[in-house]
Amino acid sequence: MRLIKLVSCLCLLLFSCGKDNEPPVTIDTISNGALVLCEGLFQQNNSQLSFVSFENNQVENNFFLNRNNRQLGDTGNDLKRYGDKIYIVVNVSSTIEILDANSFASIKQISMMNGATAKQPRSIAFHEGLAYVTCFDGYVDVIDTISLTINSRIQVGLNPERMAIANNKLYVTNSGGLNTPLMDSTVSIIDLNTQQEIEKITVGMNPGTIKADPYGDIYVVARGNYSNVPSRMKKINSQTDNVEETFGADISGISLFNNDFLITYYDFATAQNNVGLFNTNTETIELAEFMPLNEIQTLYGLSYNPINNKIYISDAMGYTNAGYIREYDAQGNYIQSYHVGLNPSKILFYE
Amino acid sequence: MRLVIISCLWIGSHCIGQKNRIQEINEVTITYNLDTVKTQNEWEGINATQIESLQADDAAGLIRKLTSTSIKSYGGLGGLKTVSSRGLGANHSKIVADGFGINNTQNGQVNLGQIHSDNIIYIRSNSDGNSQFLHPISAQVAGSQFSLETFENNFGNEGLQFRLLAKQGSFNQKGSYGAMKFSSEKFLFSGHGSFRSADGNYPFTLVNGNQTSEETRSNNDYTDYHFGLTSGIKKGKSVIRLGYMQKEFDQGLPGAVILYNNSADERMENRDQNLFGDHVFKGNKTSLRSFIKINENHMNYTDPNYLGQNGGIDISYRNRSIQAGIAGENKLTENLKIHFGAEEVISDLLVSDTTFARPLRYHNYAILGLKYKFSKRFNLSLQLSEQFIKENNSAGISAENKFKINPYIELSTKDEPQKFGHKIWYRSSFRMPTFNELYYNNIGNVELKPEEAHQLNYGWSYSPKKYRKFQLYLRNNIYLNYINNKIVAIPTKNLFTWSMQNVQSANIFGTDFKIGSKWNVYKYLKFDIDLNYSLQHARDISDPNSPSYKDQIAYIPVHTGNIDLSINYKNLGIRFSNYTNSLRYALNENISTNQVDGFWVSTLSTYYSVILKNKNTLTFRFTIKNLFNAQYAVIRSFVMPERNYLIVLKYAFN
Repeated sequence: MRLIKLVSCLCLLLFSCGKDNEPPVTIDTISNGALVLCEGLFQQNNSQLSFVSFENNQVENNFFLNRNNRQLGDTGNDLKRYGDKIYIVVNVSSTIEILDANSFASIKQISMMNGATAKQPRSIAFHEGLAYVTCFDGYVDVIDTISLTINSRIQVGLNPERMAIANNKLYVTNSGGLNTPLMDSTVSIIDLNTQQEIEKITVGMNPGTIKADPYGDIYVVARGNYSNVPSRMKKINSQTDNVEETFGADISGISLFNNDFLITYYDFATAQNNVGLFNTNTETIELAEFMPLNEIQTLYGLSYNPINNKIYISDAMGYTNAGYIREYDAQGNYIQSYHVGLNPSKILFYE
Repeated sequence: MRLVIISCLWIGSHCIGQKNRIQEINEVTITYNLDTVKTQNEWEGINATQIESLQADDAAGLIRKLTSTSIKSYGGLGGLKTVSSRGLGANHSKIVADGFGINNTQNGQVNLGQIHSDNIIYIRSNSDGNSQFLHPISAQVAGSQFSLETFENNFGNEGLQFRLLAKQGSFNQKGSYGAMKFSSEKFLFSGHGSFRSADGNYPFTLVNGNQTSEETRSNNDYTDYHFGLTSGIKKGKSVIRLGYMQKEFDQGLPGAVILYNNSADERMENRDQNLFGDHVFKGNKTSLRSFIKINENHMNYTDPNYLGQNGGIDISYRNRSIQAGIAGENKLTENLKIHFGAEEVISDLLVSDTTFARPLRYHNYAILGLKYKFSKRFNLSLQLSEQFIKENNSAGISAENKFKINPYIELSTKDEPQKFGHKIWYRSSFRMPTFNELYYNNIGNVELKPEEAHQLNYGWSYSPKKYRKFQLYLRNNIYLNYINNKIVAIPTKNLFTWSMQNVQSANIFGTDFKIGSKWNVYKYLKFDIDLNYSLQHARDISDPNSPSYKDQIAYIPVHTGNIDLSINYKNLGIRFSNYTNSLRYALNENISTNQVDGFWVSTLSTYYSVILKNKNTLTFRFTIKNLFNAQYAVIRSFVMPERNYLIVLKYAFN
């Protein structure tokens, strides 16, 4: 009898359930919201889109799957809109997914393979009907946005990452991140008329984020080696293509905030990430602590939405838990959070 | 008819011989066998007959049949397979082959997929401290121990023996094994060689959202060669053994199945060389063993499509170790036994990448314990173990030296037939951070502390009266484990700055049941039924604010089970074997998007033996693996083979 009791207790334990999941949501009206690219994790094939509705504070996860009956792939790295199309750069799957910007139905999937080698696309930029895609194999691919075919490949540096356009030139950061610890230190400058690399300029070890300001200057973050070479933001004059200034903070990201930048940086004194306001006119860090980040566990991205004048921060929750989009007003006051997929990074806003 | 009777007698005597070997091995004779515990109960491990009928690809296929184990398998012949026992993690398990520990100080894990199973004649696990006292001390103090014995290194007094085996299976799988063994009252000698290969291009169904497609695994080829020689002498109560074994591996690494990208060109080559020797003395009161093993593992990894500056990766790792020690037990009085031992393991790592560290580790172990019979029914075991680790990195900062003492205490009843046996024990143990965890470029952290494990276990076993035709064995363990200072890689500053840290802790509540039975229906017809079930609630209790707090730890199934049924009629047999895992989570957060489906995988194996003259036997075996064609993955994105077939022909002399 005692044995029966013991077995019964154990049976109860066997069928005890895990935590409840949030019920799936489907959002029909895609407006007043944000399309969020959740990168997922390497080798898990779990990159996905989430749509956050600001209208009714709902989130539809698995947005790509729900509309295309298939998965986005492994490690989505960039999300942008050009005309009536959305372009998603999927790094490990080595594809560019092109969607209709209204129906979100797939128009085309471009396979980014070079023979047996995956090109590993990283980011995308647009200029005069052409899409430029950095590929980790050392090239920028040029895609015609009408025919959706690859026109040409422009050779740049090692493991190109991000791009910015100013003065009819494309600035490409060559990180060399796959060659750690001997990383690249250059920015390739491509003439957008001839689509040829004009020169490579040295900006500092492991360049990553790059942004153009409204005054024709380019700001690039040389991330260093994550140990004894610190991360630094540099300014390139797009007229002379000279590196003119270095900013002292350990900056990791730059986001447009009206005509200025919100910069994310690591404060060694507090061992925390901060968001600061960078004035692009005076070229100074105007406010070192623009907003408190008490709600953020892992700052992974920041986007300003000019449509509703709010700031959205991607919180990656330690990179292994489903992430959040944290909403703040333009003064940096916390409003609310939206639970999205794993490792949310890029955001596309909808009116 | 006469032949049939002789055949039955032979098979019967073969099986009985096997059983007797296990049961009587404890005699103080000149047989060479270190396992003293298994004599207590033949039901505890998996014996040669069962191993042969399981037709596993490798040791992982056998170990998964043991209770409270979880195998992480990345699929394919030779693919990475590691074992975790009782939720502790693979690095807490020590694998011992023929009395010698298998070492890997680089990553701390042994790839079970590279351990052949055709030559294994016994395998068992144990977590309690009452383990094989003549085994290396490094194994005795580990959180759990898996010990296996091979045909070629297990010596009785059988005289001359031969084994020859050839196999052919799906995906162009081929294998062969040959061994010659001679063991007399004075000498022992064995030589063996084996070979396995496979294209590994197995088909699988790729599920992508609501769509499915038929795909084929690529870059999954595998070839290995093993060979070795062992010789020794026996004198009085002593046996001296000296052996050499070399293993060569060449394999494609198929990697994860990545949607829309099927490029895979990574390769790995391995050469593993071992020189080992020991001296065993088994007296009436004292048993003493001294042992030494020198090992060099050379691994070369290439990825021609890696997008670094040099157009790919080509890197070599050389992990060397010397382990030497003594282990013994002594019966002081009728009621008191002591066991003791010491071992030194020296290991280093040389990497062709000059930016890597050059670590050298001196790891010293010592153990002292006693077993006291304080009444007719009860035994008390006490043990203290000491470990001192000295690190030296000649290419940078060294990790600090470590010194730890760990206790073991056990109260048990005497094993008596037809009575419930009880055992309650507690042990603490730890596992050292590996060289990769301490020194790997930017990720390694020389300040890591050892990962600690505490285990509390209560177990009972019962074997009712043996009836003439029916035998039954029941066993149950209930345990509570706690892991502290768990070593995990976490991002510290940003996604690019990961570091190994002692940040997690976990507790594990588990229980396992085993039921074994043998039923001789009538003269020629026999049934064996083995069932086991394990429950492991392994919970992440690191941070109450984390979304994964109290969630099941990634890749540890709550439920695992085995159902094995074999029917033997004369010299014909069939075995149905089933292995099941409940759903698991790919990450610690227990949400539906992290779920990896559970699975049932069944194997059906049949054999027919022909008994030839003069102790010669020929056995033909046909096996269907994954009988019901389950589509499954143990690790997300690493698909496992669908239904496949294997034909084996085996010749045995003596």
